[in-house]
Amino acid sequence: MNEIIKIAIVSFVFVLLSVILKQNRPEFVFLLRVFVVIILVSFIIDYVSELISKILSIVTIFNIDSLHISLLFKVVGITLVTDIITDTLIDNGESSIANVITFISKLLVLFLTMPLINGLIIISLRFIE
Amino acid sequence: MKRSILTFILILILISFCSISGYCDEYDTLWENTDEQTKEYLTEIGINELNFDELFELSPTRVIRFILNLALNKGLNVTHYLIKILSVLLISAIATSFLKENQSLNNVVSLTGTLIIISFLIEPISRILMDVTVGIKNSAVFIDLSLPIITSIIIATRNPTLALTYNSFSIYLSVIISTLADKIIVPVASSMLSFVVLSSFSEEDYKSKLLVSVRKMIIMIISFFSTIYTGVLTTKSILATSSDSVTIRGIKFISGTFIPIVGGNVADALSSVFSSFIMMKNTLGVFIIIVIILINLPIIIEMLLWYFVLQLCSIISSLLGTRYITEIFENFSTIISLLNIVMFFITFILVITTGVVIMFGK
Repeated sequence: MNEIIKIAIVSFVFVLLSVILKQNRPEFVFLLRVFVVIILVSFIIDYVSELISKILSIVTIFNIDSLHISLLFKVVGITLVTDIITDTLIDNGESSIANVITFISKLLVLFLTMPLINGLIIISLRFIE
Repeated sequence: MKRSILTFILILILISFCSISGYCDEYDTLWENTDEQTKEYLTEIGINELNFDELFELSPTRVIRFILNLALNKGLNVTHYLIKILSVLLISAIATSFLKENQSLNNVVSLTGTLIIISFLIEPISRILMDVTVGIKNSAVFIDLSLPIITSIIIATRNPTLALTYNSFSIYLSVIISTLADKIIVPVASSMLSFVVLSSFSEEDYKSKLLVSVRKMIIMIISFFSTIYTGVLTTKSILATSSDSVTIRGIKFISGTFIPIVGGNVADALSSVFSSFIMMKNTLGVFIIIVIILINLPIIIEMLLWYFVLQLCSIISSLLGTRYITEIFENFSTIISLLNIVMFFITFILVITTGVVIMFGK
């Protein structure tokens, strides 16, 4: 609860500062935006790590293969970070770099899921044989 | 008094000629050749050996309890997979809800979830496929094992035409079933599985329609074949029984008319011996039916549980809006239902074949 109040205050301050900076020093708006994103993420980072450890403990209780779950978490993390970065870049008119970052994140996901895809292809070929 | 003693002696002589004790040895051989798993199931429902009393005392409560225990044991394993699948499904759904505005990243998470769920499902479903094949083959092997015994008993009941009919039908059936398992079911189901796995990356939803069409086609072929088979078997059995009854009546008539003094008693003694053989035939027939059901029942129950779990996951997945994963559940459930239909069909055909022989042949 405290965190959401902190986030609301930071967001409000950010809006005020960005309005002032847009009129006087617009080149600093981007830096401010990045700084605010970092502050906001730092507020919730502890919660995210606690959430992940709780989910992993549930995974252990139910004897679920943690390798797959951790892979899913990695992919979710990559996509969420990419989403935040690309949104920020598109807002600043850098859509071409945003597209490149989206492509790179997809490549990263493909790299992470490659063993899984490889295994499924081998199983499928074995079925066909 | 003298006539009664004479009849009794005649029955004893006839029984010793017909060697009922020989058939009892065959019963033991059949019991010993039944596979261990099925023997365990038979013991659980209260059948410890192959005889009339054990089968007659079969209690419905024990059978229902056995089925419930079986479903519970299989259900525990299936529930474990359900929890695994649901956890991946929920994490994917939560992540995709964060990425609603970015469709391409949304698809990436959804596809990763699909891949993980496929890797969870592929192991139990390929095991089910193997179990189906083994179950079908075991049924065919058991029919092959019991065939000479039941055929000889049917001949002993003076129903040679019925025995010939049953023998020829069963031989064909066991060959057809073994071929079906090796050459059709496994290749078709394996191809469908690999098709589902490989096409899970595609955005188009043509594969579920294709699978449903294949399933409909196979159901149509199976229905047609079972109708024809049951019709021909029943007709042939009716004709064989009527032909055999003429022979039996002829034997009784000859012995009653041409044997002096004790001719009527010989005919009565023959009737008693035939009745005992009919009882043996029915006991063996019921045992064959029970064994075939017990070979296939665990696999059918497991497949039913998997079907319900996949349908449940499909509903939850469509509620959460993860389209790719919903398709996977639907496609796997189509394959499972197809295998279940095949299993039901084979069990039905084997039970009907043996059931017809029990019903006919007086």
